[in-house]
Amino acid sequence: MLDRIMEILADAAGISVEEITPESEFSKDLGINSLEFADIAFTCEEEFEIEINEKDFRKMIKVSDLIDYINKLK
Amino acid sequence: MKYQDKRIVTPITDFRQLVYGAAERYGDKDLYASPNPKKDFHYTYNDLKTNVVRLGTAFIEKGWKGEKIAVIGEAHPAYMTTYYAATITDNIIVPLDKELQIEQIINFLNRAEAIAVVYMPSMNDTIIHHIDKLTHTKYLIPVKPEGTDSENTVPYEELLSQGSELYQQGNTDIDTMPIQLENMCTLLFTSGTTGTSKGVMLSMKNLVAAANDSCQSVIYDQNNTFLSVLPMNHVYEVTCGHIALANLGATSYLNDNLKYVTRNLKNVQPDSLILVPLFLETMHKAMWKEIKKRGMEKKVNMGIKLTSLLLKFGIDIRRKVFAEIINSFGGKLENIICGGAPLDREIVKSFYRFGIHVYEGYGITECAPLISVNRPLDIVYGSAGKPVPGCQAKIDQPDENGIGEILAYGENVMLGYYQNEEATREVFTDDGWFRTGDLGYIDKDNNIFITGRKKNLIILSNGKNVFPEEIEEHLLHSEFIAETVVIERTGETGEQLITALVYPQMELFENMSDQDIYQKIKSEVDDINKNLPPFKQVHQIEIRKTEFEKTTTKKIKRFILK
Repeated sequence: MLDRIMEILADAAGISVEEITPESEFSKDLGINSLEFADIAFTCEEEFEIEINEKDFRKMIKVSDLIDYINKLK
Repeated sequence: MKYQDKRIVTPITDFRQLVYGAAERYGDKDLYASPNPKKDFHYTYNDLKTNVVRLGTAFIEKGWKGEKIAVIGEAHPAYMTTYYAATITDNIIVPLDKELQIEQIINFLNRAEAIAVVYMPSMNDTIIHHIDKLTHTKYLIPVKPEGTDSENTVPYEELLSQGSELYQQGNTDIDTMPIQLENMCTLLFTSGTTGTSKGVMLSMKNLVAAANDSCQSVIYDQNNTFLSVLPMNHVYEVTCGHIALANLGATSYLNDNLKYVTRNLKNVQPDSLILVPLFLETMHKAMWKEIKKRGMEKKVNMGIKLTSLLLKFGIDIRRKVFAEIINSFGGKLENIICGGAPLDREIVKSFYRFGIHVYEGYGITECAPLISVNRPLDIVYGSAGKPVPGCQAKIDQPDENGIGEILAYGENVMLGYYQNEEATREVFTDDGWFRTGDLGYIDKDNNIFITGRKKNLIILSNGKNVFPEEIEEHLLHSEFIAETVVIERTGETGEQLITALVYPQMELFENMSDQDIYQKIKSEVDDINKNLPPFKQVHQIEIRKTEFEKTTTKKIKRFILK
């Protein structure tokens, strides 16, 4: 699951998976804006069959925030 | 070639005439619909009128006149129904930003002295838990209550039923009561703390003027389909995306969550959109990323050359050649209005090459909001277009390049700032022109070009305003931060980064390494970020070892900071 999350982020950011770490910040390090992140949230919802609350995904700053959130739901 | 407008556009005189007249003209046509097949709904023009009458009648029965009625939440038919019902019955609608922290929402409800708050489903689990902090709000009106009740809760549907019954019994005041065009009918709080936020007071006359200008300046009519994606508390979305569209008979699919924009574009296949630059930038980035991923860059660039050449001879095959690209936005997208923040002209050109016309406009909440917009067949790249029919613009004290502060004058200009006469006086000239705080020039063809901002404001590409002073105020609560200035920086991939320049409280960091100081300050900022809405959070910090340079009155010289 972790690999798949990284792939989704890498695809969105247009970079390789190797360039992403759990501490990577979406905006500052990966250049992902709020709209792109909303799209990523939707992709993760479809991929992992979960629902990500909008208020929650707006608070996420770095990759580990997303990973931890998805782990909790799964 | 000049654009020939063949539409017949009914001028709006007031919101009752708008709602009633639109119901007569468009009847059972969808005003709103759901883009999500699983949440299917259709809300016709007749439905709008019926429910505005019901809700408005319920408000009248409660004796509400001149009361503030707040509304908050995602895009939903109940939102504009509440908006029209409140304003037609001589009350004041107070749209609130759903992204604010609850403390700020409560603060605004109290500051507005709102008697009621109508909230959409996404806000169900929020305000209800903070009733004890509300000083004036007696009625919580959930649109779709989910079992969390209190004695203060009156479900929206219950008000509709009450209103319906009363109206049928002959309480038809809503049909004939005088409409107060000149009074405040909406109160819009700008972003910020008590010290920095202002309440913009707009009258129905202001909004009607701006909506009429919007109707005159765009090419939409009842044949157009929109996907509404912007937040409902923006006056840009309300005036251009709802009031104007309702007058023109268009249909708007309500996107209620940012997650679903991409999916909904494909489901709804809108031909028109009203956006802020963030959306265009994202769409543009996604477009070219896909082109590069498929190795089609060369082919697309050749296609651009060919279609541009043929266009010069009046042959337009752009949409055929680039059908696959347009399909990624649903396949029918032709027109985009864009405003709320500066827009890169190269993006406008890029969309044009694929056959999608972007009409950049300029406005400010205080002008309800429309000041200028590019017109059909008259798009001037890099400009925000010509002033709309009902609004004049001029440049105050232009320099040798013609650049100065942009001033606006018209029936769309606000009444003033709520409970703040001093701030109101400051933004009007002696002869009644409004000072926008934006710098620019007007060319010989009357096109407005915006070159910068006079005031300390960070305008995000999603249209949201960030007041640096507000964030600084929060940061200075930390004992570890002595001085700070918040500015905007641009990241490597062009993204906007809210950056805090920090001078630490050095006596607390004796014998600590630079790295340790950085980590401590970062940890303080991270904690502060948790209490800020996402769009105001600090993205990065820069530590300085010396105090900021100051004026003789001890104010930090912000203008020298880069």
